[in-house]
Amino acid sequence: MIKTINNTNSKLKKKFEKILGEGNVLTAREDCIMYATDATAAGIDLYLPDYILFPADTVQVSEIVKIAYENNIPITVRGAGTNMAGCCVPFKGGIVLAINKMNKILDFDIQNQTIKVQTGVIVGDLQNIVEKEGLFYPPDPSNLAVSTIGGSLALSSSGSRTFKYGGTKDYVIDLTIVLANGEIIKTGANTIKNATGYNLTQLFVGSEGTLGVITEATFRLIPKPEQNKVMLVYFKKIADAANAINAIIMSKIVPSVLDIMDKTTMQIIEQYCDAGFLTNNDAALFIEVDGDEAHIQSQINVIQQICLDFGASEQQISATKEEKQKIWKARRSSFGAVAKLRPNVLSEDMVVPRSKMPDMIKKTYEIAEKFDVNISIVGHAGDGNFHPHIAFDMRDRQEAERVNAAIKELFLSAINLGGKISGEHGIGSAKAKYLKYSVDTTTLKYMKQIKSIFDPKNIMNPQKIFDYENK
Amino acid sequence: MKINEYKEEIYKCSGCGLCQSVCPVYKILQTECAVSRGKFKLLNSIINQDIKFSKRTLEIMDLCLHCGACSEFCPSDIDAQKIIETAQADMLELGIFDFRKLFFAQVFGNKFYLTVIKFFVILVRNLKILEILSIFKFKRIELLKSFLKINIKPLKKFANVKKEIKVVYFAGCFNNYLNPSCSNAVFKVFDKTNVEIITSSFNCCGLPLKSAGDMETFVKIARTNIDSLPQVFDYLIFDCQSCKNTFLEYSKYLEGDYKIKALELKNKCKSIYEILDIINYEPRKKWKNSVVTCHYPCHTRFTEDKKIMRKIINKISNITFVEAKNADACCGAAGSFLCTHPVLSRKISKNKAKDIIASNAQIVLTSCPSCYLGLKQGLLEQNSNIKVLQLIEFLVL
Ligand SMILES: Cc1cc2nc3c(=O)[nH]c(=O)nc-3n(C[C@H](O)[C@H](O)[C@H](O)COP(=O)(O)OP(=O)(O)OC[C@H]3O[C@@H](n4cnc5c(N)ncnc54)[C@H](O)[C@@H]3O)c2cc1C
Ligand code: SF4
Ligand code: SF4
Repeated sequence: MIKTINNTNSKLKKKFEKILGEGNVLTAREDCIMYATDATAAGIDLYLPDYILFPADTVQVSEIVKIAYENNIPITVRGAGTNMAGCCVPFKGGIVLAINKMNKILDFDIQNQTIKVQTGVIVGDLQNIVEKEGLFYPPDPSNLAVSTIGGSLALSSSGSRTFKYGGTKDYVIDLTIVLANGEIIKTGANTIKNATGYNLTQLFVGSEGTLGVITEATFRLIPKPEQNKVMLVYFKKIADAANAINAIIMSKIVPSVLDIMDKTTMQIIEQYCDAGFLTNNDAALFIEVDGDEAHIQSQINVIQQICLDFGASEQQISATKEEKQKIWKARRSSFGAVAKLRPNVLSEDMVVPRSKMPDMIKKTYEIAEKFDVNISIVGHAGDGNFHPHIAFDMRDRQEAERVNAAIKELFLSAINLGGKISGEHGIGSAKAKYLKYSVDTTTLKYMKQIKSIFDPKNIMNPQKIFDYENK
Repeated sequence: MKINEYKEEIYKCSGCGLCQSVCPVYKILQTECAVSRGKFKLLNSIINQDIKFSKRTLEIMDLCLHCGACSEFCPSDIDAQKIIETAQADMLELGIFDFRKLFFAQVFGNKFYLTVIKFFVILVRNLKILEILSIFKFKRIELLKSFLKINIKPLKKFANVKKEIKVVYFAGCFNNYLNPSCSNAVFKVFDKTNVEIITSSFNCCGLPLKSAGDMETFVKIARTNIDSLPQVFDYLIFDCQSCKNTFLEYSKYLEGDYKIKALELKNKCKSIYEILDIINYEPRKKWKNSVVTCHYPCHTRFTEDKKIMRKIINKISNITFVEAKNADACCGAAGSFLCTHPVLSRKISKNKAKDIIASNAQIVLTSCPSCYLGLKQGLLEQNSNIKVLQLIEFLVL
């Protein structure tokens, strides 16, 4: 059901068209429906925007935001719209600011190993461009083929390689931001180091579009590792796999990827693309090691020994580019593949201290059983960040309620184990009501004050992160 | 509304947005209108009766090449082409349609119009009208000129001898009415083999009508085509993937006796390349040193044809084969799309051409006349003189 009244004002529409050109302003109801939701499992209620705008650069964004500020129009920034926390739902209507056409590489400085881009650039494209020069941009959310730089900054995205190389937040050194009143600020510098005033760059990383529009970003890059190999180690018991992870980390080896998949996940992925997973096992560790050849081999040797000690049953190693691509594709399709099971999927992303990973996994299965919900697990085990994928049919009221109850308990368990409710997907609207369990009252108070300094009229992505009453 | 039958399938879209990475239209437009996720969200709202079908809905559904890249990729296994087609058909029934697309479809659905076009083309060719017009340097004219220029001459003598394998040859409309070069090549290639070609008078396969949503005429055409088949033959062969796929789908749309016939026909429908593979064809011709790449038409997506084309190419001596990036991405022509969305089509073709140029090939081979136009269009945009040929032409050139 459509929940918002259409507020498109033809005068304003003309103004926007004048700034952006006609094709870059959409207002038809049909278009608004397509921009009402993101990758978050949504109910039948739709909150439509009034305008969908496609700016081309910082100046255009600033002009639009000024008009919105004067007229109290809410703005929801949108990249690829693939977040899973309802971050892009325009509950209050207004403008959806789609940054997809702001996709230019502004400056690729090979000598200084930095790159400056507009934030509509796709993460995977950025990776490919720098790799051609032997450089490396490691942050790799599994949907990097579509995820935008803006979205990955605003959600502080990370991925499998974060264990060794860090996430988006660790590579950004400068941002250009249009604030709620249209003013433009620059938060950092082109330099690798910077201790000049407050570190506003990091404030905007993970800000979910609630503080301003990030229009340009500069990243530092690192040299591309010489080679890598991917190995899959299988276990008959998932608890053994979880313990092996801790032992690998204790041995001071740092694989570039240390992920875990449970049996259900493997089986479902196998159905989608035959990756050759040995699905008769309970769990698999997905490990990538990199470096020069000798280093790779020595890492593999140690890992193999540890895994054997913990009862590993089988292993597969892929070295050729094709084999690796196949395995990566399979690994990255876990969410989509789970979506095959039932019409809706929720992918949560709690994070716990990594030594607590075995406990969290155990707890998750208990919760799945207790509430009779379908949960499969993949996780960035090395970071203690893990994704229970919950497949269900939202239209089934009872099932949906059970899922909600299970999620709440999952969150509370993670918090009890010393963790947080989100490691990389953000809070958005879906998790806003749980924030109070994960952040104390005083801290929350200051967070809210920061929001009101940057956005006094509350027009930047309203209803997100904080638990606003009467949505 | 037929679209209601797809309620569950449409609802299955998890909204993961991954289809953005493969949709050629999305790559140009960067809006949800282009990609299947957006289309499904809209159709979902129509099914839920939030809104009704509209002109804008049609525009959005028409922003699709029916290339199938998203269906092949979609982790939730949703058949986007089928769903979009159904929505278009529903709208046609409600009187919401794109006049240009329907016009184009009607022309192809009617032998008389096609014959008129055929004579017009002959006239244009003989009077060298394109050559005269090309002083204006319009890219469109260059495109047509290049298409009409490829010319495999017909066999001098078409010996009607009885042979082991009897095949009925369905020559697509492009061959029949615009440029017979490819048909001529088919006869030439099979001339020295144990395959006997039987010709018959067919209609268009009906694809333009099907994609315009005119199912009534489509079904009529399908029936007459089935009626035009001789009693005895081993295979029905196609030089165009799209025509073959359309025949394979006949059974879904027909009823009664025709449905049974169409189902029986399924096993007999083969591309010319499949037949070449069956008879273990050895290309005799020594090609002069050249680097060749292949563009796989969208309609080869769910078939074995891709592999077979590669196999045949690999048998040709003296050429170096290189695989271009995204070799199965749509060329941008997509039948009537080229005419209904000229600017967009050109941009998609241009993207395609970039990948071909980057492969360093001198010749790009394909197996669909419409793809010829798409590929050439992109290469012209990029001012590249890489040659485009149908594989079958390449075998006898
Ligand atoms: C299949 C799948 C797999 C995923 N895998 C991962 C994963 O491995 N790791 C991970 O971390 N996440 C993952 N995600 C979650 C999500 O996709 C990522 O966080 C992604 O980076 C979001 O990018 P986007 O361009 O889609 O952002 P959107 O969804 O469009 O936007 C996300 C948020 O960022 C804000 N925003 C976007 N651009 C700007 C801007 N320029 N300025 C200010 N605010 C902005 C929006 O307002 C919104 O609040 C996955 C999602 C899917 C569907
Ligand atoms: S890939 Fe499939 S499931 Fe994902 S958004 Fe596209 S259509 Fe929906
Ligand atoms: S069929 Fe091709 S053009 Fe149409 S939505 Fe899918 S990928 Fe895009």
